[in-house]
Amino acid sequence: MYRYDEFDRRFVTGRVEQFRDQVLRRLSGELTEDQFKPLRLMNGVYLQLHAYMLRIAIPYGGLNAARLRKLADIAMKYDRGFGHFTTRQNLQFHWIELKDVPQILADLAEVEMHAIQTSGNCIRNVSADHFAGAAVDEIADPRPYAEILRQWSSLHPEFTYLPRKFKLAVSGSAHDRAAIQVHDIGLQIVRNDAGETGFTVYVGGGLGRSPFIGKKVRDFLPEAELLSYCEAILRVYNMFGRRDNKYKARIKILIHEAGVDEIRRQVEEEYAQIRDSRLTLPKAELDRIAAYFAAPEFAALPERSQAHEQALAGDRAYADWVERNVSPHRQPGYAIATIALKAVGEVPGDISADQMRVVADIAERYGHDEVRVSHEQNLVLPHLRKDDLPQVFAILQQAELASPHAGLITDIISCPGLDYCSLANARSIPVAQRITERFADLKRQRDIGDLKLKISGCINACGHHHVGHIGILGVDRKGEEFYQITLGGSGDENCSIGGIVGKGFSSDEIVDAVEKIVDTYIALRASPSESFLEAFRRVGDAPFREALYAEAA
Amino acid sequence: MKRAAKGHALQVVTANALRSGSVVFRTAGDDWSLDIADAVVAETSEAGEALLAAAMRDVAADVVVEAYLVDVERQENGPRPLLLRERIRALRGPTITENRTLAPAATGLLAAAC
Ligand code: HEM
Ligand code: SF4
Repeated sequence: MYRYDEFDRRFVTGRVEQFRDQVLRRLSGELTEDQFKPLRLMNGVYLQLHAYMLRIAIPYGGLNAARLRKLADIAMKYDRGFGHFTTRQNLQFHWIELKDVPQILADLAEVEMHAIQTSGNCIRNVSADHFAGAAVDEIADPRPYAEILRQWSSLHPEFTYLPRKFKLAVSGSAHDRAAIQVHDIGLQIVRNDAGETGFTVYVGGGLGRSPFIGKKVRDFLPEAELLSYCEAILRVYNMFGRRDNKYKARIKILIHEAGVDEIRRQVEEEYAQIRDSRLTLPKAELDRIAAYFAAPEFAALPERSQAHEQALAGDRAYADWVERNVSPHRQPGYAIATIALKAVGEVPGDISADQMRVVADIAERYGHDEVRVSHEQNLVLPHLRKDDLPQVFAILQQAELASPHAGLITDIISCPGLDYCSLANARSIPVAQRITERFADLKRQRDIGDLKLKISGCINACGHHHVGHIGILGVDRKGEEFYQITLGGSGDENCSIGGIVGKGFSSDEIVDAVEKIVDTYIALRASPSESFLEAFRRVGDAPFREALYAEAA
Repeated sequence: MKRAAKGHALQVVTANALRSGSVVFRTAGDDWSLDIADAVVAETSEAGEALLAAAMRDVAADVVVEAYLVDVERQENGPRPLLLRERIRALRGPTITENRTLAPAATGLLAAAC
């Protein structure tokens, strides 16, 4: 894991003290709300429906035991004993008091964490594949590049007042687990014919009110030119991005309006000016950063593990969990485990302080002290010995963290919605919970197979509903909660934006509607191995539309 | 923000306490309460505007932030907001059970399982 250097430390602690002073001045009345609001937003503090909310950056989702324990302590001391992981690999505390924020930030700084650039029109937390450094299909670890981008974008003087927020994501595998094509800049690590490492660059992806898939602007960008090229993109955006209308201010709109060819031309022009500048990454610097992310010292183990295989044969619950929640590791004898934070009736992405501590203990004892947050609001233990898996499973089970449904219909992404969010039109969490209850039967879920269901409580799309195989969007219809369904979205390398299937459903109807969609799929799939998305792409939305609306017509 | 169309609905004033962020309601004693049952109800739009004007003095005095009027109806146990958003605010929490740590630390689990 990256460790702060002297510069990072001074910068973060300096910011904490600055904000401490700002909060004191606000509480004493020296600063007005209008003066203070931008300052608190720069430090991740929002005012939500019931209380202040603090959003903490978790660069590329990287946690360790010390960080998790610190988050647990904060949850207990200053919040209500839990935290909420978001689709941008961050953590939000929903019940923070303003007067406590400076001390919380000081506590976070002890474990090299902060809330800087988690809000506002700046470059936000850089996200990356949660299987980084462990995935079998990985070309190169995305984290060193994400870290380099983080350093470059932190307090970048030129980019602190962008037209709108700006989000980057990096994937190191051909299979995109980081939803890079719905980010402002998506970077896909590739190797060219000469065996050199570089990036395929996508620009202008985004969800929200107007969803767009990122446009490819470069097939191969040499790795040394990462920062100069990103800087060129940001410059063009900063110069030409719209500032007259907040809803048209993202780079996706600039590209949509000017055309990708024109923007590519401008970026290349800007890039030609700066490409040989100080931004070129020397190999030594790349290596220095990469060293922070060196693989742990893996033991030389046989690929097969007796303990694991015995447990598979003897323990049905374990076998179920392994089938969905354990993924292959590139090191023989090791595995990756996903901790799904969506057990039946739970709040997607929420984790209690006790559970954080259990995960911290496991990571320290069995997992080379590494934990990741996934954009699917789950946690990942990236480096476990297969020999230890049965033990880890038993511990997770006792902490109610062993729900065996990763990637199934109940592994739902859901934003906080109207239960917490002041921008919401409708609640999302209760809908997610009712769907997990309806599909609680694991046998049925497994029969349905891979299915990504994502829920947002308003068009800002924090719950990624546009890229859900089934997406649910909460809307307000004459004061009633209504839910619009989109079908066929996907956030991976075959990215697509879901299409609205028809008129919305009331809160009472929405779970039945989802069930109808699922039953329709089961009835029409070519074989049990044809996934929902594959089937949808084959047949289109007509059968689903018919099933949902035929009776009404 | 979402408010019902202007009409002749009864109204209360709500805000968030500056220090804690808690949802609060304006009371008859020119104070603030966490409980909407304590809220003073304005019967006319003039009374509503007057109530809001008084509340804005507490915004200026840095006691609360984001004060505004909320349409309500009167019920046995006090005013009930017409909009779901405001009903949830008045609940002082979400409509779902939070996954909080309430039990004693469960970190002993690791020892127990090993
Ligand atoms: C509760 C406080 C939150 C507020 C006030 C908020 C606000 C917003 C707004 C205004 C947008 C639209 C921005 C735009 O299109 O320019 C947005 C987008 C987004 N937010 Fe949130 N959000 C909140 C919570 C969350 C949570 C909990 C998550 C993760 C579950 C999240 C992840 C995202 C993502 C992924 C987008 C997509 C933006 C895009 O690509 O266009 N946010 N948010
Ligand atoms: S999608 Fe809307 S309701 Fe959900 S968290 Fe984002 S802003 Fe709030």
